[in-house]
Amino acid sequence: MSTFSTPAILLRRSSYGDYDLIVTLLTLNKGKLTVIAKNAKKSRKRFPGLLELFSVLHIECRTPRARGMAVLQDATLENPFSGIRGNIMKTSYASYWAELVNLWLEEGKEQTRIYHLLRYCLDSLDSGIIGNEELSIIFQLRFLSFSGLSPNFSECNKCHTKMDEIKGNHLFFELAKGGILCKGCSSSSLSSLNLTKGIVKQLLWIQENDLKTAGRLKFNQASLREGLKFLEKFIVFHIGKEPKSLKFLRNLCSQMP
Amino acid sequence: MNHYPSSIRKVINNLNKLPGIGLKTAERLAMHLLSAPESEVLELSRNIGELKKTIRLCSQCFALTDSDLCRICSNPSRDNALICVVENQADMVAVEKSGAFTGVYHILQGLLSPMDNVGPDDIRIKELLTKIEKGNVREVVIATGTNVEGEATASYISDCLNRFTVNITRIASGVPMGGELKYVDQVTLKKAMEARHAL
Ligand SMILES: [Zn+2]
Ligand SMILES: [Zn+2]
Repeated sequence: MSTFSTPAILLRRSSYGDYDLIVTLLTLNKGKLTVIAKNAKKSRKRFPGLLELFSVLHIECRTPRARGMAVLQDATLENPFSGIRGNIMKTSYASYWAELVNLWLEEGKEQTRIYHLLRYCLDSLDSGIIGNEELSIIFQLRFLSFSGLSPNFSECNKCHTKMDEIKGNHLFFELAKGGILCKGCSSSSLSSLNLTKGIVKQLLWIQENDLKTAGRLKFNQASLREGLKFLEKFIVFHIGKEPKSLKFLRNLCSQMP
Repeated sequence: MNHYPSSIRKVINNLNKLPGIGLKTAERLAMHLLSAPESEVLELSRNIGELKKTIRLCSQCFALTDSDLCRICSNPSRDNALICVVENQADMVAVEKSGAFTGVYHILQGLLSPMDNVGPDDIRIKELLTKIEKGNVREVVIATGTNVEGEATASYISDCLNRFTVNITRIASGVPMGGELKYVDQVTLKKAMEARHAL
Protein backbone atom coordinates (compact mmCIF):
# COMPACT_ATOMS: atom_id res chain seq x y z
CA MET A 1 0.00 0.00 0.00
CA SER A 2 1.49 3.33 -0.98
CA THR A 3 0.62 6.85 -0.01
CA PHE A 4 1.31 10.18 -1.61
CA SER A 5 0.79 13.79 -0.62
CA THR A 6 0.28 16.95 -2.63
CA PRO A 7 -1.13 20.46 -2.45
CA ALA A 8 -4.66 20.50 -3.88
CA ILE A 9 -7.60 22.78 -4.59
CA LEU A 10 -11.08 21.36 -4.04
CA LEU A 11 -13.18 21.59 -7.22
CA ARG A 12 -16.28 19.59 -6.43
CA ARG A 13 -17.77 17.52 -3.64
CA SER A 14 -20.67 15.12 -3.62
CA SER A 15 -22.21 12.67 -1.19
CA TYR A 16 -21.49 8.99 -1.51
CA GLY A 17 -23.97 7.04 0.55
CA ASP A 18 -24.77 8.22 4.05
CA TYR A 19 -21.23 8.49 5.39
CA ASP A 20 -18.73 9.33 2.68
CA LEU A 21 -17.90 12.19 0.38
CA ILE A 22 -16.38 12.03 -3.06
CA VAL A 23 -14.20 15.03 -3.77
CA THR A 24 -12.57 16.12 -6.99
CA LEU A 25 -9.40 18.12 -6.59
CA LEU A 26 -6.90 19.86 -8.80
CA THR A 27 -3.62 18.70 -7.35
CA LEU A 28 -0.21 20.19 -7.97
CA ASN A 29 1.51 16.86 -8.56
CA LYS A 30 -1.13 14.62 -10.09
CA GLY A 31 -3.47 16.90 -12.00
CA LYS A 32 -7.19 16.35 -11.55
CA LEU A 33 -7.88 13.68 -8.98
CA THR A 34 -11.07 12.21 -7.56
CA VAL A 35 -10.77 10.67 -4.11
CA ILE A 36 -13.12 9.24 -1.54
CA ALA A 37 -13.21 10.75 1.95
CA LYS A 38 -14.54 8.01 4.18
CA ASN A 39 -16.75 9.01 7.09
CA ALA A 40 -16.40 12.67 6.13
CA LYS A 41 -20.17 13.11 6.40
CA LYS A 42 -20.66 10.91 9.42
CA SER A 43 -18.00 12.38 11.68
CA ARG A 44 -17.51 16.10 12.19
CA LYS A 45 -14.06 15.39 13.54
CA ARG A 46 -12.78 13.43 10.55
CA PHE A 47 -12.18 16.42 8.23
CA PRO A 48 -13.53 19.37 10.23
CA GLY A 49 -14.42 22.28 7.95
CA LEU A 50 -11.80 21.20 5.42
CA LEU A 51 -13.56 19.70 2.45
CA GLU A 52 -15.25 22.84 1.21
CA LEU A 53 -15.31 24.16 -2.35
CA PHE A 54 -12.16 26.07 -3.39
CA SER A 55 -10.29 25.23 -0.16
CA VAL A 56 -6.55 25.05 -0.72
CA LEU A 57 -5.42 21.92 1.08
CA HIS A 58 -2.44 19.73 1.59
CA ILE A 59 -3.73 16.20 1.17
CA GLU A 60 -2.41 12.75 1.91
CA CYS A 61 -3.93 9.82 0.05
CA ARG A 62 -3.63 6.07 -0.10
CA THR A 63 -3.50 4.72 -3.62
CA PRO A 64 -6.03 2.03 -4.45
CA ARG A 65 -4.79 -1.56 -4.63
CA ALA A 66 -6.01 -2.42 -8.08
CA ARG A 67 -8.58 -0.12 -9.56
CA GLY A 68 -10.87 2.41 -7.99
CA MET A 69 -10.45 5.67 -6.19
CA ALA A 70 -7.63 6.81 -3.95
CA VAL A 71 -8.68 7.21 -0.32
CA LEU A 72 -8.17 10.54 1.40
CA GLN A 73 -6.22 9.90 4.60
CA ASP A 74 -5.49 13.35 5.88
CA ALA A 75 -5.97 16.97 4.91
CA THR A 76 -4.74 20.26 6.28
CA LEU A 77 -6.12 23.61 5.31
CA GLU A 78 -3.89 26.27 3.83
CA ASN A 79 -6.52 28.81 2.82
CA PRO A 80 -10.31 28.63 3.28
CA PHE A 81 -10.90 31.83 1.27
CA SER A 82 -13.34 33.49 3.65
CA GLY A 83 -13.43 36.52 1.34
CA ILE A 84 -14.84 34.39 -1.48
CA ARG A 85 -17.23 32.39 0.70
CA GLY A 86 -18.86 35.43 2.23
CA ASN A 87 -19.69 36.94 -1.16
CA ILE A 88 -22.18 35.46 -3.62
CA MET A 89 -20.62 37.12 -6.69
CA LYS A 90 -17.12 35.90 -5.85
CA THR A 91 -18.45 32.43 -5.04
CA SER A 92 -20.11 32.37 -8.46
CA TYR A 93 -16.92 33.31 -10.33
CA ALA A 94 -14.87 30.79 -8.36
CA SER A 95 -17.51 28.12 -9.08
CA TYR A 96 -17.33 28.86 -12.79
CA TRP A 97 -13.54 28.54 -12.89
CA ALA A 98 -13.60 25.36 -10.81
CA GLU A 99 -16.26 23.85 -13.05
CA LEU A 100 -14.26 24.72 -16.17
CA VAL A 101 -11.19 23.00 -14.77
CA ASN A 102 -13.28 20.01 -13.75
CA LEU A 103 -15.00 19.75 -17.13
CA TRP A 104 -11.94 20.19 -19.25
CA LEU A 105 -9.13 18.36 -17.54
CA GLU A 106 -8.45 14.67 -17.77
CA GLU A 107 -8.02 12.72 -14.58
CA GLY A 108 -4.42 12.08 -13.52
CA LYS A 109 -2.65 14.30 -16.04
CA GLU A 110 -0.27 16.76 -14.40
CA GLN A 111 -1.38 20.36 -14.97
CA THR A 112 1.00 22.49 -12.96
CA ARG A 113 0.37 25.70 -14.89
CA ILE A 114 -3.40 25.44 -14.48
CA TYR A 115 -2.95 24.71 -10.77
CA HIS A 116 -0.89 27.88 -10.29
CA LEU A 117 -3.32 29.89 -12.42
CA LEU A 118 -6.35 28.79 -10.39
CA ARG A 119 -4.47 29.38 -7.15
CA TYR A 120 -3.44 32.88 -8.24
CA CYS A 121 -6.97 33.79 -9.36
CA LEU A 122 -8.59 32.47 -6.17
CA ASP A 123 -6.03 34.34 -4.03
CA SER A 124 -6.69 37.58 -5.89
CA LEU A 125 -10.46 37.07 -5.84
CA ASP A 126 -10.32 36.47 -2.10
CA SER A 127 -8.24 39.53 -1.33
CA GLY A 128 -10.08 41.67 -3.87
CA ILE A 129 -6.93 43.34 -5.25
CA ILE A 130 -8.16 42.67 -8.78
CA GLY A 131 -11.81 43.04 -9.84
CA ASN A 132 -13.94 39.91 -10.28
CA GLU A 133 -14.59 40.53 -13.97
CA GLU A 134 -10.97 41.38 -14.77
CA LEU A 135 -9.87 38.18 -13.03
CA SER A 136 -12.36 36.11 -14.95
CA ILE A 137 -11.00 37.50 -18.21
CA ILE A 138 -7.44 36.68 -17.13
CA PHE A 139 -8.42 33.20 -15.93
CA GLN A 140 -10.28 32.27 -19.11
CA LEU A 141 -7.59 33.59 -21.47
CA ARG A 142 -4.79 31.79 -19.64
CA PHE A 143 -6.84 28.66 -19.25
CA LEU A 144 -7.49 28.58 -23.00
CA SER A 145 -3.84 29.02 -23.82
CA PHE A 146 -2.73 26.27 -21.38
CA SER A 147 -5.35 24.02 -22.97
CA GLY A 148 -4.02 24.64 -26.46
CA LEU A 149 -6.98 26.75 -27.55
CA SER A 150 -5.50 30.21 -27.35
CA PRO A 151 -7.48 32.60 -29.57
CA ASN A 152 -5.39 34.26 -32.25
CA PHE A 153 -5.65 38.04 -31.82
CA SER A 154 -2.36 39.06 -33.41
CA GLU A 155 -3.25 38.81 -37.11
CA CYS A 156 -6.08 38.03 -39.51
CA ASN A 157 -6.52 34.27 -39.50
CA LYS A 158 -6.79 34.18 -43.33
CA CYS A 159 -4.68 36.90 -44.96
CA HIS A 160 -2.30 37.32 -41.97
CA THR A 161 -2.52 41.10 -41.94
CA LYS A 162 -1.22 42.22 -38.53
CA MET A 163 -3.99 43.31 -36.17
CA ASP A 164 -2.56 46.83 -35.84
CA GLU A 165 -2.55 47.22 -39.60
CA ILE A 166 -6.15 46.17 -40.14
CA LYS A 167 -8.15 49.29 -41.00
CA GLY A 168 -11.19 50.39 -39.05
CA ASN A 169 -12.30 49.76 -35.49
CA HIS A 170 -14.33 46.64 -36.13
CA LEU A 171 -12.88 43.18 -36.31
CA PHE A 172 -14.51 39.80 -36.67
CA PHE A 173 -13.85 36.55 -34.87
CA GLU A 174 -14.37 33.08 -36.19
CA LEU A 175 -15.27 30.77 -33.27
CA ALA A 176 -14.52 27.50 -35.05
CA LYS A 177 -11.08 28.55 -36.29
CA GLY A 178 -10.31 30.53 -33.15
CA GLY A 179 -8.96 33.71 -34.69
CA ILE A 180 -9.77 37.26 -35.77
CA LEU A 181 -10.59 38.20 -39.35
CA CYS A 182 -10.30 41.48 -41.19
CA LYS A 183 -13.41 42.88 -42.86
CA GLY A 184 -12.47 41.60 -46.29
CA CYS A 185 -11.85 38.04 -45.09
CA SER A 186 -14.94 37.96 -42.86
CA SER A 187 -17.32 38.15 -45.81
CA SER A 188 -16.35 34.63 -46.87
CA SER A 189 -16.79 33.27 -43.35
CA LEU A 190 -20.22 31.89 -42.49
CA SER A 191 -20.39 32.66 -38.80
CA SER A 192 -18.30 35.25 -37.07
CA LEU A 193 -18.70 37.55 -34.08
CA ASN A 194 -18.07 41.25 -34.02
CA LEU A 195 -15.29 42.51 -31.80
CA THR A 196 -13.97 46.02 -31.32
CA LYS A 197 -10.30 46.60 -31.92
CA GLY A 198 -10.02 48.02 -28.41
CA ILE A 199 -10.93 44.77 -26.66
CA VAL A 200 -8.84 42.70 -29.05
CA LYS A 201 -5.82 44.84 -28.15
CA GLN A 202 -6.48 44.41 -24.44
CA LEU A 203 -6.94 40.64 -24.68
CA LEU A 204 -3.76 40.37 -26.75
CA TRP A 205 -1.92 42.40 -24.14
CA ILE A 206 -3.04 40.00 -21.40
CA GLN A 207 -1.89 37.04 -23.50
CA GLU A 208 1.54 38.59 -23.99
CA ASN A 209 2.25 39.64 -20.42
CA ASP A 210 2.81 37.73 -17.18
CA LEU A 211 0.01 37.34 -14.63
CA LYS A 212 1.12 40.16 -12.33
CA THR A 213 1.37 42.66 -15.18
CA ALA A 214 -1.91 41.44 -16.68
CA GLY A 215 -3.64 42.12 -13.36
CA ARG A 216 -2.78 45.81 -13.61
CA LEU A 217 -4.63 46.35 -16.89
CA LYS A 218 -7.65 48.63 -16.48
CA PHE A 219 -10.81 48.04 -18.45
CA ASN A 220 -13.81 50.31 -18.79
CA GLN A 221 -17.25 48.80 -18.12
CA ALA A 222 -18.11 48.38 -21.80
CA SER A 223 -14.93 46.52 -22.65
CA LEU A 224 -15.21 44.35 -19.53
CA ARG A 225 -18.64 43.26 -20.69
CA GLU A 226 -17.48 42.75 -24.26
CA GLY A 227 -14.44 40.74 -23.19
CA LEU A 228 -16.41 38.49 -20.82
CA LYS A 229 -19.19 37.91 -23.30
CA PHE A 230 -16.71 36.97 -25.99
CA LEU A 231 -14.63 34.60 -23.84
CA GLU A 232 -17.68 32.86 -22.39
CA LYS A 233 -19.07 32.31 -25.90
CA PHE A 234 -15.75 31.00 -27.13
CA ILE A 235 -15.41 28.58 -24.22
CA VAL A 236 -18.99 27.31 -24.47
CA PHE A 237 -18.42 26.76 -28.20
CA HIS A 238 -15.36 24.60 -27.55
CA ILE A 239 -16.69 22.69 -24.54
CA GLY A 240 -19.89 22.02 -26.43
CA LYS A 241 -22.13 22.94 -23.50
CA GLU A 242 -22.79 25.77 -21.12
CA PRO A 243 -21.36 25.10 -17.64
CA LYS A 244 -24.09 25.20 -14.97
CA SER A 245 -22.23 27.76 -12.91
CA LEU A 246 -21.93 30.04 -15.94
CA LYS A 247 -25.73 30.01 -16.30
CA PHE A 248 -25.99 30.80 -12.59
CA LEU A 249 -23.45 33.60 -12.89
CA ARG A 250 -25.15 35.23 -15.88
CA ASN A 251 -28.53 35.01 -14.14
CA LEU A 252 -27.15 36.54 -11.00
CA CYS A 253 -25.48 39.39 -12.87
CA SER A 254 -28.74 40.26 -14.58
CA GLN A 255 -30.57 40.32 -11.21
CA MET A 256 -28.12 42.10 -8.96
CA PRO A 257 -28.99 45.70 -8.20
CA MET B 1 -34.62 -13.36 -1.45
CA ASN B 2 -36.02 -15.73 -4.03
CA HIS B 3 -37.07 -18.04 -1.24
CA TYR B 4 -39.83 -15.64 -0.23
CA PRO B 5 -43.24 -15.42 -1.89
CA SER B 6 -43.57 -12.39 -4.12
CA SER B 7 -45.83 -10.37 -1.75
CA ILE B 8 -43.13 -10.54 0.94
CA ARG B 9 -40.41 -9.80 -1.59
CA LYS B 10 -42.29 -6.63 -2.57
CA VAL B 11 -42.41 -5.39 1.03
CA ILE B 12 -38.73 -6.23 1.52
CA ASN B 13 -37.90 -4.24 -1.60
CA ASN B 14 -39.98 -1.26 -0.41
CA LEU B 15 -38.35 -1.22 3.01
CA ASN B 16 -34.92 -1.65 1.50
CA LYS B 17 -35.35 1.69 -0.30
CA LEU B 18 -35.61 3.58 2.99
CA PRO B 19 -32.45 5.35 4.19
CA GLY B 20 -30.24 3.27 6.46
CA ILE B 21 -32.21 0.05 5.84
CA GLY B 22 -30.14 -2.72 4.32
CA LEU B 23 -31.49 -5.93 2.85
CA LYS B 24 -31.05 -7.88 6.11
CA THR B 25 -32.93 -5.30 8.18
CA ALA B 26 -35.63 -5.09 5.51
CA GLU B 27 -36.09 -8.85 5.74
CA ARG B 28 -36.34 -8.70 9.52
CA LEU B 29 -38.87 -5.83 9.41
CA ALA B 30 -40.99 -7.63 6.82
CA MET B 31 -41.08 -10.77 8.93
CA HIS B 32 -41.97 -8.64 11.95
CA LEU B 33 -44.89 -7.03 10.10
CA LEU B 34 -46.09 -10.46 9.08
CA SER B 35 -46.28 -11.63 12.67
CA ALA B 36 -47.64 -8.36 14.15
CA PRO B 37 -51.40 -7.94 14.86
CA GLU B 38 -53.35 -7.03 11.75
CA SER B 39 -54.72 -3.80 13.28
CA GLU B 40 -51.21 -2.49 13.88
CA VAL B 41 -50.08 -3.21 10.34
CA LEU B 42 -53.22 -1.62 8.88
CA GLU B 43 -52.74 1.45 11.03
CA LEU B 44 -49.17 1.81 9.81
CA SER B 45 -50.15 1.54 6.16
CA ARG B 46 -53.04 3.97 6.69
CA ASN B 47 -50.80 6.52 8.39
CA ILE B 48 -48.23 6.30 5.63
CA GLY B 49 -50.96 6.89 3.06
CA GLU B 50 -52.33 9.87 5.03
CA LEU B 51 -48.87 11.42 5.25
CA LYS B 52 -48.79 12.23 1.56
CA LYS B 53 -52.40 13.41 1.52
CA THR B 54 -52.52 15.73 4.50
CA ILE B 55 -49.03 17.15 4.87
CA ARG B 56 -48.45 20.43 3.09
CA LEU B 57 -46.34 23.53 3.49
CA CYS B 58 -47.28 26.30 5.90
CA SER B 59 -48.47 29.27 3.86
CA GLN B 60 -46.34 31.63 5.98
CA CYS B 61 -43.04 29.90 6.67
CA PHE B 62 -43.06 26.78 4.41
CA ALA B 63 -42.66 24.37 7.29
CA LEU B 64 -44.43 21.02 7.06
CA THR B 65 -47.90 21.21 8.55
CA ASP B 66 -51.29 19.54 8.34
CA SER B 67 -53.25 22.79 8.42
CA ASP B 68 -52.86 26.10 6.60
CA LEU B 69 -50.58 27.61 9.25
CA CYS B 70 -48.01 25.60 11.17
CA ARG B 71 -48.02 25.45 14.97
CA ILE B 72 -45.40 28.14 15.28
CA CYS B 73 -46.96 30.63 12.86
CA SER B 74 -50.39 30.20 14.48
CA ASN B 75 -49.00 30.70 17.99
CA PRO B 76 -49.88 34.28 19.13
CA SER B 77 -47.02 34.37 21.64
CA ARG B 78 -44.36 34.08 18.92
CA ASP B 79 -42.74 37.33 17.78
CA ASN B 80 -43.79 37.89 14.14
CA ALA B 81 -41.35 40.75 13.68
CA LEU B 82 -38.37 38.44 14.15
CA ILE B 83 -37.70 35.97 11.33
CA CYS B 84 -35.12 33.20 11.33
CA VAL B 85 -34.13 32.02 7.84
CA VAL B 86 -33.13 28.34 7.59
CA GLU B 87 -32.41 25.92 4.78
CA ASN B 88 -34.90 23.16 5.62
CA GLN B 89 -37.30 21.71 8.13
CA ALA B 90 -34.59 19.78 9.98
CA ASP B 91 -32.63 22.98 10.60
CA MET B 92 -35.79 24.67 11.88
CA VAL B 93 -36.34 21.78 14.28
CA ALA B 94 -32.74 22.10 15.47
CA VAL B 95 -33.10 25.83 16.23
CA GLU B 96 -36.47 25.18 17.86
CA LYS B 97 -34.95 22.50 20.11
CA SER B 98 -32.34 24.98 21.30
CA GLY B 99 -35.18 26.97 22.85
CA ALA B 100 -33.25 30.15 22.12
CA PHE B 101 -35.56 31.58 19.51
CA THR B 102 -38.97 33.14 20.08
CA GLY B 103 -39.68 34.52 16.61
CA VAL B 104 -41.00 32.80 13.49
CA TYR B 105 -39.20 30.99 10.69
CA HIS B 106 -38.75 31.19 6.97
CA ILE B 107 -37.76 27.91 5.39
CA LEU B 108 -35.93 28.39 2.10
CA GLN B 109 -36.40 24.79 0.91
CA GLY B 110 -32.83 24.71 -0.36
CA LEU B 111 -29.67 26.75 -0.79
CA LEU B 112 -28.18 28.61 -3.72
CA SER B 113 -25.64 26.46 -5.52
CA PRO B 114 -23.76 27.94 -8.48
CA MET B 115 -22.26 24.56 -9.43
CA ASP B 116 -25.72 22.99 -9.75
CA ASN B 117 -27.31 26.14 -11.12
CA VAL B 118 -29.75 26.33 -8.22
CA GLY B 119 -30.59 30.03 -8.40
CA PRO B 120 -32.70 32.48 -6.36
CA ASP B 121 -35.84 31.49 -8.28
CA ASP B 122 -35.42 27.85 -7.33
CA ILE B 123 -35.69 28.45 -3.58
CA ARG B 124 -38.09 30.58 -1.54
CA ILE B 125 -36.26 33.89 -1.52
CA LYS B 126 -38.93 35.92 -3.33
CA GLU B 127 -41.45 34.95 -0.66
CA LEU B 128 -39.08 36.22 2.01
CA LEU B 129 -38.67 39.56 0.23
CA THR B 130 -42.44 39.89 -0.10
CA LYS B 131 -42.79 39.41 3.65
CA ILE B 132 -40.18 42.07 4.37
CA GLU B 133 -41.71 44.46 1.83
CA LYS B 134 -44.95 44.45 3.78
CA GLY B 135 -43.06 46.01 6.69
CA ASN B 136 -43.64 44.88 10.29
CA VAL B 137 -40.40 42.88 10.32
CA ARG B 138 -37.73 44.17 12.71
CA GLU B 139 -34.96 41.61 12.29
CA VAL B 140 -33.98 38.80 9.95
CA VAL B 141 -31.58 36.24 11.41
CA ILE B 142 -29.87 34.27 8.65
CA ALA B 143 -29.22 30.79 10.02
CA THR B 144 -28.09 28.89 6.93
CA GLY B 145 -25.15 26.51 7.32
CA THR B 146 -21.52 27.57 7.12
CA ASN B 147 -20.62 25.56 4.02
CA VAL B 148 -20.03 27.40 0.72
CA GLU B 149 -23.69 27.13 -0.33
CA GLY B 150 -24.92 28.33 3.08
CA GLU B 151 -22.57 31.31 3.07
CA ALA B 152 -23.40 32.18 -0.55
CA THR B 153 -27.11 32.11 0.25
CA ALA B 154 -26.61 34.28 3.32
CA SER B 155 -24.61 36.78 1.27
CA TYR B 156 -27.27 36.90 -1.45
CA ILE B 157 -30.13 37.40 1.01
CA SER B 158 -28.29 40.12 2.85
CA ASP B 159 -27.55 41.91 -0.46
CA CYS B 160 -31.26 41.73 -1.34
CA LEU B 161 -32.39 42.99 2.08
CA ASN B 162 -30.02 45.95 2.12
CA ARG B 163 -32.61 48.22 0.54
CA PHE B 164 -34.99 47.68 3.46
CA THR B 165 -34.69 49.18 6.92
CA VAL B 166 -34.80 45.75 8.56
CA ASN B 167 -31.88 44.56 10.75
CA ILE B 168 -29.97 41.70 9.14
CA THR B 169 -28.02 39.38 11.43
CA ARG B 170 -26.08 36.14 10.92
CA ILE B 171 -25.85 33.45 13.58
CA ALA B 172 -22.37 33.29 15.08
CA SER B 173 -19.89 30.45 14.54
CA GLY B 174 -18.06 29.20 17.56
CA VAL B 175 -16.56 26.51 19.74
CA PRO B 176 -18.99 23.68 20.54
CA MET B 177 -19.90 23.14 24.19
CA GLY B 178 -17.85 20.48 25.91
CA GLY B 179 -15.32 20.61 23.09
CA GLU B 180 -11.58 20.90 23.27
CA LEU B 181 -10.06 23.73 21.30
CA LYS B 182 -7.49 21.56 19.54
CA TYR B 183 -10.26 19.62 17.79
CA VAL B 184 -11.99 22.72 16.45
CA ASP B 185 -11.25 23.54 12.81
CA GLN B 186 -9.22 26.66 12.11
CA VAL B 187 -11.97 28.56 10.26
CA THR B 188 -14.41 28.15 13.14
CA LEU B 189 -11.74 29.07 15.66
CA LYS B 190 -10.85 32.20 13.72
CA LYS B 191 -14.50 33.24 13.63
CA ALA B 192 -14.92 32.43 17.32
CA MET B 193 -11.92 34.59 18.14
CA GLU B 194 -13.22 37.47 16.05
CA ALA B 195 -16.63 37.25 17.74
CA ARG B 196 -15.22 37.11 21.29
CA HIS B 197 -17.15 38.99 23.93
CA ALA B 198 -16.34 40.71 27.22
CA LEU B 199 -16.83 38.79 30.47
ZN1 LIG C 1 -7.84 39.10 -43.69
ZN1 LIG D 1 -45.40 28.42 9.62
